[in-house]
Amino acid sequence: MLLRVQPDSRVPLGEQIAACVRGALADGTTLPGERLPPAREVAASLGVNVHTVLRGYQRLRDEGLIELRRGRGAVVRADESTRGRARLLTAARSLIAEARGLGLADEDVLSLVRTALAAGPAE
Amino acid sequence: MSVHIRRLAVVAAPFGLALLSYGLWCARLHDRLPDPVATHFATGGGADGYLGRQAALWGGAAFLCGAGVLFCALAVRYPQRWSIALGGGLAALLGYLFSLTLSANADVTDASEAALYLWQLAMVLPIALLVGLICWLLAGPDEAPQAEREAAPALRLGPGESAVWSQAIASPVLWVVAGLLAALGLVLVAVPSARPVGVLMLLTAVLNGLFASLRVTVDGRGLMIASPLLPRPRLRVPMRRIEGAASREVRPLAEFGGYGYRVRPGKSGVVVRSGEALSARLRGGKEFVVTVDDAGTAAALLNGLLQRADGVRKEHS
Repeated sequence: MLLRVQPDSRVPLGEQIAACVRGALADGTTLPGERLPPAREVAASLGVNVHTVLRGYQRLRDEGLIELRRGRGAVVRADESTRGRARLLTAARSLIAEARGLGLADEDVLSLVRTALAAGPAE
Repeated sequence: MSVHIRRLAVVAAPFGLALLSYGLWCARLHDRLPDPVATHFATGGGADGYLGRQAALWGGAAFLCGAGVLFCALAVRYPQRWSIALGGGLAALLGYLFSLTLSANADVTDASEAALYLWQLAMVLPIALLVGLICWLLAGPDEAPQAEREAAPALRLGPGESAVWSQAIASPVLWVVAGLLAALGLVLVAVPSARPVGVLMLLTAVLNGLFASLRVTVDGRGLMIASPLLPRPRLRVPMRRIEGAASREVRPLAEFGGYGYRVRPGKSGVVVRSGEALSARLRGGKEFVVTVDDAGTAAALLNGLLQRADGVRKEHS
C-alpha cells in the first residue's frame, strides 16, 4: 500500500493518509483482512507524528473500513462490501470537493443529494 | 533438441542403465541366492540384516525406479546442472551398491555366511563421482538467469512530499516447514532419548514461523524487510546503495537454490515464494530482490525518490 502526504497541503495529514488507504481499498490494491502497516512505522517513514497517523486510522475505523484492536493493529474489515464502501466514500469526497469548488455551502450539498435521492432509483 | 529435453535424457539414462544392469544381475544370480538374502552388513563385513529374496530384489528395483522418477521430475521442473549431476551419480551409486549386495549373497547356503567388506566399497564413490561428472559435462552450463526486467516508471513526487510503501508477505513454504518441524519436534520431545533433538526442532520451527511472514517497507530511507512480530533482526538497504528498481518474476529454486535469505553471485535477496518480486539494482552492479506483491508500485516509488534526490543534487551543484 502506497501512502503519500503533502505537508504544505490544506488537507490535514491524517486525512491524507486515510485518503490513501481508502484509495488502495477502492482500487483493490489492499484487500479485506489485510493488515495496515503499524502506525509507528508509518510515522517514522513519513516523518510525521504517530498521533497523526492514528487520527487517519481512526477516521477509517469510523467509516467502517478498518478495525483497530489493541495488540493486533489496524486490519481491513474482512467484509465483502468493504471495497464498495471505500469506493462510495471516495465518490462522496469527490462530490464534496466538486461542490466546494463551486462555492456551495454544506446545506446546499445536502439538499442536492436529497433531491437526487427523491428522484427515485438510479439507473 | 532443447536444453531441457537433453538434461532430462542425461539424468534418465544413468537410472535406466542402472536399472537394466541391476535387472540382468538379478536374473543371472536369482537361482544362486539364498532366501532370505543378506541386505545389511556390519563394518567388519559380516551380514547383520536380512530380507526375503523376492522383497529384496523387487525392493531394489523399486528404489531405483523411485529415485529415477524423482530426479526426472526434478529435471523437468528445475533443470539445474547440479541436480542432473547428482541424479546421475546417485543412479551409479545405487545400481552398483545393489548389484554388489547381490554378488555378496551369491552361492552361499545361508545368508548369514554372506560378507561384504569395506574395501569392496572402495570403487563405489569414484564410480558415482565419475558418472556424476559425466552428467555434469553433458548437462552443459546453466542458462544465464534472464535479466529482463519490467522497467518501472518513476512515481512523480512533489518537492516536500513524503511517501511510504508497505506490504506484508507470507511464505506458504516456510509455514509448511514450520508446521512439519513443530509436529515432528512435539513427537520427539515425548521420547526421552530424543528430547534434545525435539527441543532443537521446536526452536527451528519457531524461527521458521517468525520469518514466514514479513513486512517490506520502502521510504525515503530506502528498503527495509522486517518481521512484524519482532523489531530485530531486520534487513535494510539504504537509499544511497540503490541505483534503480524494477519488478520482475523470481523462481526461487532455479535462481536462488531455495527459500529464505539467499546470497548468490551477483545477487542476494529474501525469496519466500515464486512470482512477483521487487528488484533493486545496487551500486556496484549487484541485485537485491524481495518477493512481494504489488512490487511495481514499490519500484516506482524507489525510482521516484531516487529521481527527486537526483534533481535536488543537480540544483545544488
